[in-house]
Amino acid sequence: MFGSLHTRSHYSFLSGASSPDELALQAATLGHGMLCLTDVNGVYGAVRHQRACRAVGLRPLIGCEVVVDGMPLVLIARNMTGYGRIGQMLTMAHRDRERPHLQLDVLQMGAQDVAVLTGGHDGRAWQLAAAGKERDLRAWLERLHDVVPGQVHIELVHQQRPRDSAVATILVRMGHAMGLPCVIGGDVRYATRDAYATYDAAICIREGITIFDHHAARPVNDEQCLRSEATMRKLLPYDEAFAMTSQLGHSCSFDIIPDHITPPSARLPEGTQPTDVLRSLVETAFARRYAHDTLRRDQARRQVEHELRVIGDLGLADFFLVVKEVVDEAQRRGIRHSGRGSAANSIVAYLLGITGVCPLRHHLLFERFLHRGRKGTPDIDVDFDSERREEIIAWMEERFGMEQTAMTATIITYRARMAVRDAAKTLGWPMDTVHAMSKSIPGYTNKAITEYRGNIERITGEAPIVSTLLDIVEKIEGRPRHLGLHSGGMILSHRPLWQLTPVQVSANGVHVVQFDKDDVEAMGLVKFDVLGLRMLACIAEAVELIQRREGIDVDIDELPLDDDNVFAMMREGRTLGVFQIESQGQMHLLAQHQPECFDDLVTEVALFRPGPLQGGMVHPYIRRRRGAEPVTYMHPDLEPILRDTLGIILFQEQVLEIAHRFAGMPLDDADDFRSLVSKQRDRQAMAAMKDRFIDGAMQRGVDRPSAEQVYEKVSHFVGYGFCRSHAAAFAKIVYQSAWLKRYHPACYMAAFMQHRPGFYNLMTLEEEARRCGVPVEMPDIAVSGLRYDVERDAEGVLRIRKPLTSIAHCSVDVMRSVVWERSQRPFTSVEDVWLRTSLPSDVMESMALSGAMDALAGSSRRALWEVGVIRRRLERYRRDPALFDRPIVMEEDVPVMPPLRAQERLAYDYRTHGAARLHPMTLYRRAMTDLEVRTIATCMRMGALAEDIRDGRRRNDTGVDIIVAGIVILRQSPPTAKGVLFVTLEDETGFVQCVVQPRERQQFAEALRHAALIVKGRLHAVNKWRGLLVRDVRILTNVIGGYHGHPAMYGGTDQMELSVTAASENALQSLTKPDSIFVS
Amino acid sequence: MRVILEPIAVDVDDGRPVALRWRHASFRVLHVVDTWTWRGRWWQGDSRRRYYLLDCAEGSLEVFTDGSTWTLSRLMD
Repeated sequence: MFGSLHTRSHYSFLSGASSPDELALQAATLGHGMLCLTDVNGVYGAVRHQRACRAVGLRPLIGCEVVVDGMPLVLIARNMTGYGRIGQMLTMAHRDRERPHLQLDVLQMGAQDVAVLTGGHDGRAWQLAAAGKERDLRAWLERLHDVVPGQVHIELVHQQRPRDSAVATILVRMGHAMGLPCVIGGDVRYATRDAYATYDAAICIREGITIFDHHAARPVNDEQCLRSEATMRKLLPYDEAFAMTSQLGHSCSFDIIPDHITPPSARLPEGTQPTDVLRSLVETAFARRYAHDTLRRDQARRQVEHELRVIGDLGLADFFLVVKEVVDEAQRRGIRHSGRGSAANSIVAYLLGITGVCPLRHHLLFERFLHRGRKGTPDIDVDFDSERREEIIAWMEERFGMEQTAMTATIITYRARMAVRDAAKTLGWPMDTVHAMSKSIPGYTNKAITEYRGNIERITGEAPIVSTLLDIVEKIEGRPRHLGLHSGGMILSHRPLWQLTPVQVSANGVHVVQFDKDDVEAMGLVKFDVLGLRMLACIAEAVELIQRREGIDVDIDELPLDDDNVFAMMREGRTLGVFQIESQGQMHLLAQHQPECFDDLVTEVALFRPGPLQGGMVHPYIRRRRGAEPVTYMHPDLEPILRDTLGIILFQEQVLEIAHRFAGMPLDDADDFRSLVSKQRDRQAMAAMKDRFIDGAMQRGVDRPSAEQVYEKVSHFVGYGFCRSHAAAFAKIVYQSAWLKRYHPACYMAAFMQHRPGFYNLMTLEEEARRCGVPVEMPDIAVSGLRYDVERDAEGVLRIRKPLTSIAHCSVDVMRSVVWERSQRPFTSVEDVWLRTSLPSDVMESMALSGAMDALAGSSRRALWEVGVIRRRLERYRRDPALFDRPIVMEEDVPVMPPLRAQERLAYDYRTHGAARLHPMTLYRRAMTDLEVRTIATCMRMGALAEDIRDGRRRNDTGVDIIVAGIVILRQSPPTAKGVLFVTLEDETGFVQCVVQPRERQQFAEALRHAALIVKGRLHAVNKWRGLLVRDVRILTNVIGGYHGHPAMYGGTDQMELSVTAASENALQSLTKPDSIFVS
Repeated sequence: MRVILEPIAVDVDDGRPVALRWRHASFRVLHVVDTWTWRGRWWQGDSRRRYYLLDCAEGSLEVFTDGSTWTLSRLMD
């Protein structure tokens, strides 16, 4: 048997160029019998490697390459124990984050279970042999042998480099002399010969050089690929080495993908069983929740019994108890939490307090979450208050032990944009061109990079080197680049994790395993997603503020979910700041859908997703709901499944139920079907599923045409559709946030501004607060705290007070001293502030400009002047302490200072605390009116008027053209919208969504990138929603506060226009002539 | 060894050089000391070169071929 014992995949992070699949395939093609994966400092690719090898009939070996005493050695696991030892050793090696390495003695840990190879060209053995230092070579090999007797194998490499044959001869001779076996190593860096270019590009990127630079690490030829046994025998004619290679391969045997899971252990009282403890907890909760619910009690009891049976059969009682422990701890500490995802389908999860929705109430399906056929552990994901998530994680580490907890790895792979960036850098373009080039590629795309050639050539010009660029990008796209920082998945295990995977520490101090979430599941490890949701932090803070400032205790979790005032607010689209339904698209959908009850909310949340949108489900659903279309079912069997969604497939659970009940598939197959349909990646598998589906349906008596029709509908449920339980769990949070906004807008908006869970900018949030009747007060050094707060004015009206920390340069640490000093006694002047707090001058200037010290100095300009004076004079005073007896600022010194003009106030506000006390568009209102440009509020009034004129038939197009102007606060071009651009314009009276069709988008491409626009369009109306179908666009120059740039996922917030000179009075000079606006 | 980089005529037997002629000098190969390959600038379409370090009676030569032409890269006489 022959194969490569020393092979790197692209999981060596820019030090290897091929995937484990590519390597296995090539090895099999060459007729190898085995393949050993030895990535640098890790086993990241182990699961994929094992699967790939098994798929092509190769024997998989696992090991790693690690620096020992300064130079790399290869370690290969002989068995599961050896694999665990390697895990332990790599964990130790990674204690040095920058340069993982081991001391030689540590290898003793491997004992008889880890074989050691002396390494390739960069190994000590080869280097000493090449240098002719045979005595040193012998001494070192003896040392190595002392540490790991019986495990040392001298690695022979030949890669057609100068002296390779000669060095091999020396090593063979030494092997004979010392009685150490030789093996054929390979030192493979990529699978096939032509991948050498990918490898070279990767090295250049890694080293930060261009391909035109020389570097010792760059490959000199293309021989570091897998090669046939025949080729190797010609280069290294040493039969014994080949025999030894085969022997070593045969002696390594184990399966890293276990057939059992390694769950964490729950804390149980003496002598109890997990299933008993689980039952008793469930019974207690059941009595509380359902004992008096005559409607649902019997059904709930049946469901509970069913679930407990399944949980018991799958041995998951421990797991549920562990999750309950975590959730209970959060409860004890007052940390808000909410179970999400498919777990909300379970009544046991609901009774244990893991999730917050009753599955019976929302017709949820337990089988979507868990069923007997399911392999591996279910996904339980819980959102926590984002501000306090770290606390929970720290508690979990303590409770389960540092060795038994770690996060799943996130392996960042090259996406088009990043690949273009690195490739352009490595081809020698200057950094600002590199930035422009990468920005011209969208962040998310499924298209081949060659389709963006035009984008790139617009920046670089046409040149042959662009072909090289695209070539490199194609080579590296999709390959691992580095270990990412962010991960939600926390692994909990009852035995030390290094037995299954090395553990390393990421850049932000988090313990991470070397497998991503899919491989972690394959390894039988149990993970629990601990996610931070800013909305939870927002709700927690709002409830607290209401308690403190209004004296009311709101039991937010036990609110009845049926207040029509809340739904009325949603129907009107006044949902800015409400969880999940605040986007412009959602506002439009709400106007069409008109939700009236909680179930409608669950549907609303699920409707606006790529799945239903691309599947063409949304409009039919709305039409049926409005009675514009009859409710029909493609087949009578579908009625019970689709009844509450009016015959339309909206949820993942419905796909699963259809596969199970309509097509007769057993549950685990139905679950696979559901998963396959959502991901839509494997065309072959889909084709196979199609036949099964149709056959299964026909066996149940369904006719072929109907079966095919239903299959077509179901298989179009592409992309990500929500599962109903997730929508229900989220819908509860939506309702809570909407309720808070409706009844306690001051406290809610203050909490919202503190945590910023949405994507609107601060100015828009402040305007929304004002529209809700809540004034927003600027930061004031006499009154403001460190967080957004609520206060009552003289008339008892609640208003929001912006904190000192909202001012630029004023961090919490710095402002703490201000608040502390103020609590001793109030500040009397700017000088007083400075002397008592010693704040740095940039902080003082920022505070002055923001207006926070207006009360002390009389005006912002005066405050700024005083700051300047104090700074200069303080220097003098320090040298001459006698001067300190006099005040630094003296009234006679104050020059005549004109008050701040409106434009200046506006600009300084934006610069210092992100939002202005006056909307930028107010400065231009008079000029706008002269030009017949309307306020955005006019749109709201006009649409209503137009509807009255209508003859009773509801039509969106009002037939009215209108011209409005405003700053751009959002710019979106979602992939589901087929080239349409959505631009949201805002003025001092509100905001409106402008819809730009592809033709107009191209026509006005340049103008649409600007931060402020005048737009002429046809007004469309749906109930209270208004939209403008854009006909003509003009740029409004010199207005600040809007965003200019490209559309992005969440709004195109590339750059906010903020320059002070921009806020000039001369802005509208070019527009004073009416005919310069639009030629009708 | 000094760098030359000029074309050289080579007689080959079974792929390996046995005799060479450069300018007005002739060389007879005594034995091939070493051989290796070099890949070059893949982005410019450089072809692979095979190098030979040759021990001749008249001196040591380093030559390479891209499969069709031979070049004398270095010489020590």
